[in-house]
Amino acid sequence: MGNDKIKLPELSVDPIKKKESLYKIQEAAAQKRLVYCPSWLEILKSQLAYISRGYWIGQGAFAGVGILVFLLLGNLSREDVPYLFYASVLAASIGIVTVMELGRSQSCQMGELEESCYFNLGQLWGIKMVLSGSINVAILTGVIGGLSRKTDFGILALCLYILVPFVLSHGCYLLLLFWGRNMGKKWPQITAAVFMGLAAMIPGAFPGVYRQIYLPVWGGVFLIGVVLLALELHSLFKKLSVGGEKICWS
Amino acid sequence: MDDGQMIEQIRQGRKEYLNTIAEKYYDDIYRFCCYQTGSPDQSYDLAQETFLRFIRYVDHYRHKNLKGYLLAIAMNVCRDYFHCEKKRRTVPWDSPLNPEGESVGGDAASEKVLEAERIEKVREALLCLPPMQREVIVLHCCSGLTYREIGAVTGAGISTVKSRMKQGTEKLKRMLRKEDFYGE
Amino acid sequence: MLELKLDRITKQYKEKIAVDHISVSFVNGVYGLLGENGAGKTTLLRMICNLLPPGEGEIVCSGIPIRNMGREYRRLLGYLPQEFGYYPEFTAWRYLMYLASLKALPKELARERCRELLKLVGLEGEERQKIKTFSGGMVRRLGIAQALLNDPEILILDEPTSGLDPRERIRFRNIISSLGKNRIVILSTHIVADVAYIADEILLMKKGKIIGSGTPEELVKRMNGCVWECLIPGDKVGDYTEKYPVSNLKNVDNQVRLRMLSVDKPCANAVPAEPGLEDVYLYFTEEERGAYEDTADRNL
Repeated sequence: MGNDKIKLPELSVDPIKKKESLYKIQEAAAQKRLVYCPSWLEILKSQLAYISRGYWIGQGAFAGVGILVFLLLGNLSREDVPYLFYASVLAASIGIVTVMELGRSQSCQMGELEESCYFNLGQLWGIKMVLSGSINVAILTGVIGGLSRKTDFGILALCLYILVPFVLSHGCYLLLLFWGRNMGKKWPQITAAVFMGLAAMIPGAFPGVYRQIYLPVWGGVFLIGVVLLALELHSLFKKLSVGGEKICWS
Repeated sequence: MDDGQMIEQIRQGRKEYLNTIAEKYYDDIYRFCCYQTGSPDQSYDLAQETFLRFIRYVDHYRHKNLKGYLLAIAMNVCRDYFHCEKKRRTVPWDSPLNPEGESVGGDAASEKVLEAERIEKVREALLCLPPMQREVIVLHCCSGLTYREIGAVTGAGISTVKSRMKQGTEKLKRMLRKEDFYGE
Repeated sequence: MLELKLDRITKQYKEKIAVDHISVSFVNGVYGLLGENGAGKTTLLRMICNLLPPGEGEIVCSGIPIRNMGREYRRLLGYLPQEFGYYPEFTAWRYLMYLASLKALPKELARERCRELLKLVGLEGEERQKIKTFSGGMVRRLGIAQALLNDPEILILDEPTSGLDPRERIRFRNIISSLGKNRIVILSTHIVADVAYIADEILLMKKGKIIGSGTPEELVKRMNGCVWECLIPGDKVGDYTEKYPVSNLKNVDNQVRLRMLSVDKPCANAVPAEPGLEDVYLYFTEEERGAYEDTADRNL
């Protein structure tokens, strides 16, 4: 690099013409209306600060329960089913924390105001869903990891047994967010969580469903659940992108 | 305050740093435009246009190298200028040091005359180069950018930049005398 | 300068037409949207905020339909809904900083704006208090502050003075009046006094339609010769209120001073009165516009 560097002569700049140019630049700068465009990471960081304490307590509680249950059961030598049983109930009810956090916009009558902002309700909920989803998946990964050590089931089978109640329950919770007159209200959500938990116990009553032969059935149910959830999310965000009529109105 | 801090201040709404940046880099951009276009008079306008464009799109600025970014804008402004004017070689040069008008005597005068001649020769030689080679040489030798930075500004790979640099330098060597080429 | 154009905006809910082919243009200034409850004001404002897609028609901002502008339109907007809430555990400061983050204000600027606006609305010193301890008027003032956070070019206020006491109303009017120079301010209300002194233009809305518009002076001029005041015995009040629209009624000794709208002199001792905006409102919102319609329209 050094050898072939040509020394270009230093050109002098006419101070008067430079001043004129700088003056025009100053005028443009004065008229410029600066617009702040934060990156997704910045948005995520700033919204993290406004998530309610109740959410963190709820998530912490679920994570805590998960760990506690495994620790307790770990000390007893039992069959496979009770682990799966409790893990299914956990997976089915964990989504309630997310949905209650999202529902605050409606229950606290903030939805209409939030919808009118630059980052509107759809984006806000998107961020919260991503955040929450990541935390829930992390917790469930821990649960599946724990289960794989304490049971004979393969990882794929365990993923299906846990993700099916997770996905189906989320489908239900989301419906409560934007359907019917009970949008965003706490008690319908809590009731739903209880029902989901109870429903997740049903396979536990029939240990046979956890046999390998039924894995395709689990797979099928999982796929249907994912498709339904995707459709719900699509519908929700579409409604919110055109103003969120009724979803967010006070 | 370094460039990154100034940009952060601008993002926070402090418009006055737009002027600070213009004052800091005006000379560099002007010189680049001068060597690119061979037209000192036009280059004031071209440098101005570079900063106006910078201001227009500053909201979305995300780069790490502000100088490189400004030079990239300047490069495009010069390309647009060529496209409009279709002038590549025949622009008259108003040298700031006109030896015929000088009445300063002795060594100082002859120094200035020599310098003015040198500038003229280098200018003409540069304008004889293909634009892409000229860009690389001016960015490296006048603005002091590394090959990697030049690659980022021009959009070319490092090896392409090196080869353009080599070819351009060789052509200039053939066109210029040794002392004009390497300076003092 | 922005121009906001509504072109035959319509919204229909099953049988009811909430907004009926409204076409209006807004430029910088304060616009008062006057109308009774149920006139369609909130629906119209929600459409202007792009919270509700119109059934028919288009809203255009400086040449671009707002439905195509997405979030860049919301960046220009400041909105105060008729009913709004807050997260109960939030303090006033946290509430404003939260909304500032949603409006994409950088942190330093957000802090500056929050301080300025809390002072402007008279909540300086209350920023660390939880909003649930605030009175209705204080919450409403906080709402006005949040609408101004991003220094919006289009400010939409839906019944902003509801719940405010007279002193707060006056304060509010002063704030809004100063804001209209550099932006479009549209405020809806059913209280004439809120807009009488500060609006550059008044839009009268009834059953989804704009039934009258103009500067307050223009509208009042239309009522010249139609407003009368007279003293009548208390037992005759019923006759007059049935026959004429009455805009004011006051007990004076053992008689009643009535202020009413009428084309002709309604009674022997009636004297013509200087019309006001209240009279205009009454005129335009009356079911039966009757005989005085000709006089008012003649005065155009």
